[in-house]
Amino acid sequence: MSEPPQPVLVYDRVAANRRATRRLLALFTVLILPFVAGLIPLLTPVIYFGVLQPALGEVAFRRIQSTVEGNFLVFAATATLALLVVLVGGIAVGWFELGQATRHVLRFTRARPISREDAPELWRAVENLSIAAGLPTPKVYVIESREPNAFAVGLDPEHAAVVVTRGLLGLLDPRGLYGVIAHELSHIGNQDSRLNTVLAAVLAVLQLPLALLTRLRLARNPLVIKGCLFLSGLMAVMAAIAVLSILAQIVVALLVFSGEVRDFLAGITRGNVLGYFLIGMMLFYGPLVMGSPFYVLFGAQRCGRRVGAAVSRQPEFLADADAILLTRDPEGLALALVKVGAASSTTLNLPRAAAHLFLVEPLLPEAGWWDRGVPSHPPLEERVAVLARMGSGVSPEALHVAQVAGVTFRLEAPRAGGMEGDRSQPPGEKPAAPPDRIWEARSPSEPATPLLPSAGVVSYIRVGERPAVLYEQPDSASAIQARLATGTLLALRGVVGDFLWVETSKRVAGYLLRSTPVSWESD
Amino acid sequence: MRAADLIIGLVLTLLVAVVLAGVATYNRLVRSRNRVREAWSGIDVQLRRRASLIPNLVESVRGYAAHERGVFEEVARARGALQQAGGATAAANANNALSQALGHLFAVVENYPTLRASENFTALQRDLSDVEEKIAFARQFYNRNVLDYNTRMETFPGVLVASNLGFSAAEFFATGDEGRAEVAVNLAPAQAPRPRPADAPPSTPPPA
Repeated sequence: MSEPPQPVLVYDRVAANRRATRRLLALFTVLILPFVAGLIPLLTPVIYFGVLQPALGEVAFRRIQSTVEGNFLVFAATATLALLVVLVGGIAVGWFELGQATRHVLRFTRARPISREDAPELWRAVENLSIAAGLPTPKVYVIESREPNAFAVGLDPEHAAVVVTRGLLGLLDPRGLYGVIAHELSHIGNQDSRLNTVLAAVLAVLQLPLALLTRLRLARNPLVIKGCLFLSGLMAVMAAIAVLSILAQIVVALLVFSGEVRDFLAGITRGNVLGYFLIGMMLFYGPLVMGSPFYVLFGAQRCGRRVGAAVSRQPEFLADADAILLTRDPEGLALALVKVGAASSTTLNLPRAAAHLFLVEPLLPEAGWWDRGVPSHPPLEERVAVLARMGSGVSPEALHVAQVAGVTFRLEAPRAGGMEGDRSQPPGEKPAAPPDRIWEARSPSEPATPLLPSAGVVSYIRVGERPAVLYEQPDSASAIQARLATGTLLALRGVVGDFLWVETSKRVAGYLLRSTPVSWESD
Repeated sequence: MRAADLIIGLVLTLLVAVVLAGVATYNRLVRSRNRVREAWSGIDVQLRRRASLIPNLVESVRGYAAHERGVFEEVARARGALQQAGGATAAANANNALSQALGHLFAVVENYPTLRASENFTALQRDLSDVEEKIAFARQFYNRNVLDYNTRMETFPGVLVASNLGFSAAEFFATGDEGRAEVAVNLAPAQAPRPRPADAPPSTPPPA
């Protein structure tokens, strides 16, 4: 935030973001294609032995296969049928998912419709801002969770819904709430919610093969499932080796036996083209057949999530910009984002397919390195900085107060007996793994400077039920300064990304992971 | 092919292209104008709701301060003017006049603490401020559409069509100075009865 503030025209941002979204959507289509291509060779043997052979009869089938042309015909028929099955099946599943998408998303996030009396402030905000945006008033849903967050779903503005968590209502003042609701309504108005809902549906479909395997009644035995997973992994490795060896053979053939290659190519032009074509197809399809189980089970959903995250990142800026068009209050939204960011923990129970929907990226404990690589949202700091440039700027003091409010909110959360949408954490069970998301340092040499270096002590906290680690930098890969025993008193100085900036009684300053259980010391 | 044929062909193509472009521009203008009308109906609904709240409000005050006849008359007149008003500017002026009259009414109410605390009155006041807020938001949407329409009408391809086919610029729904302090600044709603954020910090001015 050291660069001089440049005013950003809201309209410019809108146009730029629309273009970026289109580009990314095209990329998404390209990445989904291998999923379909991978399904085809999987289906080929089924159709070959299960459909064609019984349909034609054993004798006729063998007679057709005895000639090269017949062989090719059978192969082509198999491939065409497989393609048809995949296309029709894909369209059917996609159609079904699309029709149900909104309801699915609402169900798997445990959102519940809320009446006007239960949340009058929220209702008024939704009504007023949808008047300002010229949208039909969407339905209002609430997730019973203390984790502050919000999202919008719906395939079109007429059937859209705005969902907020109970925690958001508790954390934000009306000004912040207006900013957040305006952001979500902008998602609806820009049809991002359509894109995001479809994205959630697509991701759910891509997870289907693995989900089917693990949930199918026939394959309940964990040994069977593990065997399948192991086999698919083994086949993927073999496929990779096969591809490499084929490439190596081609290289060797070209370098060492160039004369033979020339003869071979001459033979193709003279002799049986179909035969060679068949060999080529087998060379190409062999590895694909072997590798496809792995891609269908694991690869596709991972790639899909990654691209989905990238697709959903740009519209966040756009929705922020449009929200300002509605409220004319960049500071309100910026402070709300800071508060929500500072108050996030890992308690919201969500499937990963829904992560991209939310206002602020939810921290999911089970997110692997793959998902952490591409967050589905731009860094909060960047969004806040852009918002600050749209208005007359956000004062560091206000930011600081907002961060403290967020952290206070999180620390005050009742540890035992969370709400229904929260991840249940019975006492004695191992708490959820810390979200050791790595701090987005601008460059390795430049140390990540805290947002508010001059801020004094905000409050005091105590290390909770398990010992904590004090890092030198806001980065879990940095040097460990100390290990703090349960009950150690610390001075809280601020929040840096996913870390709390604290100081011990021996004047050692350092950073604690934000997910560290701590208790609020009410001096 | 002779040169004359070529020229005739070219001219015909050009003519068709010009006509098509004109039709497209005209359609865009009509679409834009319809959007303005729809946005206006959004304001109109809220203005009507506001006007319909007034009689109850006046009655509840009259029960305590029947002698303040002048204020009641002013409010009734302003309400009538609002219901009669046609066009954005006239409606905006009438609405501002009603706001002023209501200001006088609430000044009277200040002298009657029991009335101010009565449940009926606070409910009415809450409804009224809710409507006022909605008018402000509807006004924002309307003015954005007017801006779009007027710009389209005054910029290049539109200006040729608009002047010849009877399109006229739409009126903005302006607020009086008192309304501006309430509306254009910080749209966060305060709790009812809400304080008027007259000294709120200036934010980005609306493009209107």
